[in-house]
Amino acid sequence: MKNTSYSNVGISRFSLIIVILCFLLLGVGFPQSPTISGRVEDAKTGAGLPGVNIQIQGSSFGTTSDLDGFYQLSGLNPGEYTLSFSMMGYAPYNERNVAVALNIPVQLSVQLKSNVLASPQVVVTSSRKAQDILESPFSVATIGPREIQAKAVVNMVDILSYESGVSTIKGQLNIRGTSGYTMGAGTRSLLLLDGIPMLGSAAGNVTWATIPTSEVDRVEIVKSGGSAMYGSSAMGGVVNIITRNAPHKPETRISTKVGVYSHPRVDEWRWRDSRGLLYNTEISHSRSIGNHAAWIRIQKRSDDGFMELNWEEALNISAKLKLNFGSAHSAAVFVNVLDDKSGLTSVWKSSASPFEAPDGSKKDRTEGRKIVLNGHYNYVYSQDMAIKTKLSGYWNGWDGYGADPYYSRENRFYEEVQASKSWSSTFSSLLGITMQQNGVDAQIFGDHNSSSLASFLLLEKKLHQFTLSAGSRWETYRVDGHSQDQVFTPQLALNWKPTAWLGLRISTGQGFRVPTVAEMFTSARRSIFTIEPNPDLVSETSMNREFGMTLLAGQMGMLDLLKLDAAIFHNRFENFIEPIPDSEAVIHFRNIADARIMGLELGLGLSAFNNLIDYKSAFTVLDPVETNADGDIIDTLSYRHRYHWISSMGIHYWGLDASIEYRYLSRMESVELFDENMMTGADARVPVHVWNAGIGRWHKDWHFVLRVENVFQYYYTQLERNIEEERIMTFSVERRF
Amino acid sequence: MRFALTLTAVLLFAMISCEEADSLEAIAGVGGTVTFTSWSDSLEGAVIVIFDKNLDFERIDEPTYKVIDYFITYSDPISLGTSAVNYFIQLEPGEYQLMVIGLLVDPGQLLANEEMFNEIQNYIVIPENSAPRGIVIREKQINEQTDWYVQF
Repeated sequence: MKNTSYSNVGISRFSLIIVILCFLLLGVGFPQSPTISGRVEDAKTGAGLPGVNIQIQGSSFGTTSDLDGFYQLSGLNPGEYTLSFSMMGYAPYNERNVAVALNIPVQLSVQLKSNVLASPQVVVTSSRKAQDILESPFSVATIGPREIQAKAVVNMVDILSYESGVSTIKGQLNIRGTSGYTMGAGTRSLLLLDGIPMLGSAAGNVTWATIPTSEVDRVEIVKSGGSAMYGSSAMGGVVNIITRNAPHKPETRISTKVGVYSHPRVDEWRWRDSRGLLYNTEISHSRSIGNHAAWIRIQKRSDDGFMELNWEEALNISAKLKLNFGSAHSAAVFVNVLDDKSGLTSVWKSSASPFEAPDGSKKDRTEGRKIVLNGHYNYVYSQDMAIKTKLSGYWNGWDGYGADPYYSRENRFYEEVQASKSWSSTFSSLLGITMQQNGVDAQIFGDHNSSSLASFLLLEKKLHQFTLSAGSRWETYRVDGHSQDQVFTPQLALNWKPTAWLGLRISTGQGFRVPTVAEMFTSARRSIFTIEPNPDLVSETSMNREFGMTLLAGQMGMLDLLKLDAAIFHNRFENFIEPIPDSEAVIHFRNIADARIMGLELGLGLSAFNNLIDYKSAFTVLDPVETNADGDIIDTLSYRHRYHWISSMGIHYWGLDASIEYRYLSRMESVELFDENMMTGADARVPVHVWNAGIGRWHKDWHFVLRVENVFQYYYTQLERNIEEERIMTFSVERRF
Repeated sequence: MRFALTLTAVLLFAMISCEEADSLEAIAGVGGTVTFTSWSDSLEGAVIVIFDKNLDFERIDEPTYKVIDYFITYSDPISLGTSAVNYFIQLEPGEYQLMVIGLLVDPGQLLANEEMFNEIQNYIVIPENSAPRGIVIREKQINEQTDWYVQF
């Protein structure tokens, strides 16, 4: 085994220096650039509104209000501006002729009225710029800070599983069935943190624990192919997690969450004497210092897990600095350091003991350290032109202990420069270059490196109620110094917004994904199966088409707000990469002939009786099939649920916020490793029916949340011989100072 | 308020009116420990196999006797040289025969290759000291088989 310690990765010191430098910069006296700050309140209650989108019309400036409704816009040029305030469920409001000058901060507080006919929601991911959701060329779902806070989740994946068309298997994202389950060796859904890719360099996997959930401002899920804008791994969609900026006033939060796992409902499955426990404690502090702002968060987590070897211990420190230099320059630095230990098992002991680990693997565990260092630098060259630069470093080192020790060291560096220009009030362009370098040295992959260079261009033209956008991306990949692929992926989209409350969209585009190092070079054993390398894998490509509509309306009788979403999508893949076992029990990642995933998605969201009740429901139906070159159906793609339904209802009364959620996934029709044995009932697959319930209350600066996940202790598997979630009851308390 | 209650009831009904839940539940089967007192060098591994109660053990070596017709299921493969193994095999209620067989080829290869598996009698070795055990499986119960020593 290679004896590489974490310190040898050589980044702890580097990241520490960067952090210290950034903190030192806070103390340096920069000229006071013009700022506009204030609070956005509910006109009826006077309560601060979190998540309000504040945009300066005709420019690249924009921000979002914090949880108390405060906002700050800085880095402005002296001049007169029009500010737009918008939020779901509230009337948009424009403040015109706001004059700003050097060294004179402007205070501007506004009140928004609820119960409106229409209100836009601004998203930033689908076109790499701030955009009304009704004008988005692709289906986009958003999760706001209120929803994240109400669920008091520790792990973002617990929230994403309750979004329309999104499912997860062992932490692997699956948007509209594109990824299935690839044994953790590749994904077709790209995860971004503040617009920067966060997938592991070897397997394209996601380490969810590096996402500081309590510091997340909002999440945007783009559900159609994003390759033209974001490249490989985005062919099935993009999840962009956007962290908050520090609020205007200093704030300290202390929160603790305690959870108790239930004993299995089936007595024969009980495997421990006392109930498993979960503890999560977080302390965060945020403040503004002059024009700058910062938050730092420390999280300690200890989780016994719902099953043996599902335990986890973690210490996570994250910080974000938002720096404003002068009148046109701003920057942000995000750092996350995660030390974690966890149990590790790939299958249960048996169907008679599904919560226990197999004999001989009881001590299997991993220990690792992951470091994320992201930097943004924005330069507003003029009112019409802005340049954004992104830099990122990611280091991940971990060792596996137990029956079969192993190690992995990987790093990833990402650089991006993007220039946006408004040529006129109806025509804009966006041009960018990205580079990425990956390195991995792992026992099951070997020592490999890969790199990519890409350029992308997006042109957008508005014609009355129509917005036409055309984009393309050219990208070249190298693996171990050899050219792997060169790809050109165009996309074309048309949006029609005939009224203030309706948007229709149609789009088509190509996508691609280069095979990951893990798919090409993994050499390992899983149960009776052996995984062998296949360095001859070639890139998979796709042709995505989508037609959809979004309706946002309010103040219709008893309804405060109504949102309807509908989309029809058709994705055709060539050289689709899937793990396929052969007759010798050897699994290779192979380019199967072709595949096709088409489907329909319907969503309904409403709020009624002066926000007494809110209801959200979404239904997705998929037809995921493997086809031959002629388009004839050969088989159903494995690890996909054909039907997906999520539903939630909230009641807000007497200061309490009560909610119930339901998630249904139809029985998986096809798996790869262990098929159902009809003679014995072994490896049975069942549909998923999971209910959650919660109740929360704010009392002055205190927030209490009581939740129960998997209320009815419904047991199911998604991945063969891996039982999923046991019931857990959690109680969270947060105090803000 | 009446409207609110009505709407709440309708929405709740919409949420629970899906198909009947089908959670995984307690299962039936056979389990226990097998101790291997010796291994033959000619073997690649072993596996515990469940046969139909009507398998005629006396004819198992006949080339024309289709052993596969009586095959029900098997355990996870047992590696060569293993001294003892805990096993569990899920079964529907009924009567079966349980036996350990040595494998002359890699267990993974045999169990994944349908052609080889259909001619399983060509790739197996019967233990010297262990005859098939007749077992009865009852609803949601585990049949415990102990004191099982096997010599190849």
